[in-house]
Amino acid sequence: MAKPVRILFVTDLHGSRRAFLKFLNALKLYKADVGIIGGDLTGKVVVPVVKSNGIATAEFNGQVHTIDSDAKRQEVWKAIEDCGYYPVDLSEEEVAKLGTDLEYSTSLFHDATAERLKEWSRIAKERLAGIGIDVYVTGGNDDYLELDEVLAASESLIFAEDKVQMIGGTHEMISSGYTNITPWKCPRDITEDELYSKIDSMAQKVQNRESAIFNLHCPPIDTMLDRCTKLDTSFDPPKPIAGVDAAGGSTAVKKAIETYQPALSLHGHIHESRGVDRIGRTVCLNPGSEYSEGILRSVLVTMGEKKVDSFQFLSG
Amino acid sequence: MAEIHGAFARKTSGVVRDVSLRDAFIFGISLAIPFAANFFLFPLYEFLLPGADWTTAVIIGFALSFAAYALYASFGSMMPRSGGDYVFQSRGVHPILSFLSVISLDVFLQAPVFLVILMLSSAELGFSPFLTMAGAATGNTWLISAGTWAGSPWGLFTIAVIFVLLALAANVAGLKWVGRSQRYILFPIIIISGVVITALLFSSTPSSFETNFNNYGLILNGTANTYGNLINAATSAGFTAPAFSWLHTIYLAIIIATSFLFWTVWTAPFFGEIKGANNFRNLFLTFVAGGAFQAFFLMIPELAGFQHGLGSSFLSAAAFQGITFTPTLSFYPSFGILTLMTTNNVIVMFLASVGFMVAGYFMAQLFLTNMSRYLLAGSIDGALPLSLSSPSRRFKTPLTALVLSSIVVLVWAAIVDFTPTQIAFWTDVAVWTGPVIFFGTSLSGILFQWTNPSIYKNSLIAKYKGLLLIASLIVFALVMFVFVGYVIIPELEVSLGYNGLGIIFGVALAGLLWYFGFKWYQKKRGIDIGLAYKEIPPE
Repeated sequence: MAKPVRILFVTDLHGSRRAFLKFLNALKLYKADVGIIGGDLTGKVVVPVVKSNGIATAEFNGQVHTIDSDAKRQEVWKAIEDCGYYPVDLSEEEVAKLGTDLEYSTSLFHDATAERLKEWSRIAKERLAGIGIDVYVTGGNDDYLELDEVLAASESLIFAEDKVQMIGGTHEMISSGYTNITPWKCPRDITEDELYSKIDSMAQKVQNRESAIFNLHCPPIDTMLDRCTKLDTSFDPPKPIAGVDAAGGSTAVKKAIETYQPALSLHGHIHESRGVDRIGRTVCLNPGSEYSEGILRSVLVTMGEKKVDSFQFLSG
Repeated sequence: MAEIHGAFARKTSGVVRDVSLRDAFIFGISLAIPFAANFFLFPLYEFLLPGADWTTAVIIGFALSFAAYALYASFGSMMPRSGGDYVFQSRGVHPILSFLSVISLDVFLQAPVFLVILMLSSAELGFSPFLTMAGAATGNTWLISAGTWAGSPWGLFTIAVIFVLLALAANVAGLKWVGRSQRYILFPIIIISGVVITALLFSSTPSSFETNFNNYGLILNGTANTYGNLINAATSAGFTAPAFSWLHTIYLAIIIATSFLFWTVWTAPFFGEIKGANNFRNLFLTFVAGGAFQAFFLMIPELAGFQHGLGSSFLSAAAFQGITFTPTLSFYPSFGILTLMTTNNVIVMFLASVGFMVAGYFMAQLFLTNMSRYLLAGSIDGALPLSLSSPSRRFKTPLTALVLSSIVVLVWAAIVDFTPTQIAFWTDVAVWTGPVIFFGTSLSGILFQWTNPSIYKNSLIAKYKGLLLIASLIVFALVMFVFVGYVIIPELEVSLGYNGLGIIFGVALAGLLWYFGFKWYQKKRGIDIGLAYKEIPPE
């Protein structure tokens, strides 16, 4: 009988340095055999640090920080990165371009996110050396497609997107960071048909469906994993409609789970919908995300030979 | 000075935290217990701590409360998580402490009993006086009877059931709606009542109040010169307006701090749902603002007005009657009823009373929120069943935890409301166990930098060297003073007796048995709940 596999799953870190470092530490603390990061590695905000008349300032979380020493710079930098934001030294002219030049601001974001991921990859290489824990990573709908190259080149993180991989020596896992169309029209938003086709093509290659794991960023629709606030898309960006709930999951993901009935399916995407649900024999889990507060939300799953032995939501 | 440039956000997704710091401030001041408890207890302190100056005591109490504000803002910045004290104590000291002090003693004993007493005082300070006085002012005997019924066991229990069911519905609808209802209903009403009460009291004089009191005394009590009888009874018993006492003022300041002003931090159980709860400065200022609102809007003006409009001699005599029931009155000389006696206008009476009425309801709303979040945190850690942290499919809120909290409150409401002669006993039990939460969290604050060095060193509050330790030590010292004071200082004595101690230790023991039993059960299922209590080093 195969030894149970302990999987630590986290998702939607959105650039938070603090959450990522906690994840690496948690792998050892929770004695995990395998780590999985379920997509949406990209942060949401660039914080310009602007020098004028010899004084640098950064406005961040409603406060203006004057950076007058190396220690202060380090402190402000860390606080910004811990929240998942990107501090960038910019001139007055460059800041002015941010709001008007889409190509410039997009390029700035791409560079910042790629650099952050390369840094994470370097840190993971140091921290995971010699401890024998594999860490799998997929993209998420917020992640630019160019990031796939950065992840594929990583020596410490195993890029799992669009692949069937054997994890823990016993469980086949398929992974996709693509989602159904969201109001934000993110880089990996595709139609439900396209999403099903993507999942289906991977699932058909799975040899043993009973013990398989689906690592799909988008949760199945109408479950405890996809509850979110309804958005008013007449605004740009869309605004939440207070008190009105919606199901943000995917019909394609649900259909795939119903069809193939893997032992476990892991999801993220809807930060506020941490929870568990069952579709047939499949245990579906979303640990949620509180990256901006520097909190690591995770779920520790013990996989038996053909089923989930136990799972435990953790946050720290 | 460099020009300031805001952050540039790309269009993207993500909504997690529903409650703003402004709502947290209102949550804090909704625990403006003076509205429903402090004033209710007014005769008690006036009698037990003669010579205490209330204004000075409130100002000193407010200053002392800064320690609690700093302690909770520090923990919020390090661990902005749902469960508040439960999380702080389990990570900072040991899960057994948090299970005992938060889950056992708070969720299953102190919070529900205290809530029942607060709802009871809302009925006795709001509904009952308003109906009674409105009946007396208009000559409507039905209203007088309704006022009497509102203060009877069935009246109190009925009000409690209505409050709890409404509070449950609001909580099930979601914290966003709880916040909004407090912002748009509670907050304006409290301001209206506060202003009306203060205006009423300052427009009254001791002589005009004497006339009003005698008139109402004749209607309600059926006796002439009730005012004179009250003064004479106290004077002949040797209880007269006492001279100022610093010692009693300090005692009162500590009680005001630990029992009232500290509680503006009790948004801690839902730190996980407050935007920006990890920002020490903003959280600290939110608590200070809540405390300042309580102290300088809800306490000092009303208390000063009370002294001005009713006079010290009468207040002392009323306090004597409130404790000794001599001479016999058909009404309790509470803050509520005495304030309403300064007017004959029913609309003004309503405006002055409505704050007490809604405060009782909103406390039910807030207590259910907090009790359910403690249960939710215990469930997330695996120390309680998973269903307590699973949101309802329909409402997205922790329905099971909310329903369980409501049931616990209603069971206690039945016990307390239908044992009217034991209300002082239940109040003592709640008063005794109230500071237990602060005891555990301040102990955690004292030890935290040694039990969780990496989290502490990497937190923003580490740069305020010694702040967490000093704030925790002050809170710990004040709480210990209260605990010890309740036993050895005759003026503060809270007598629990064997029955009270038995209930407290029984509830604590039941909690311990549950903790170890459930831990063993989870272990059998392959879940090590010990993992949940390990904070992950952030670097």
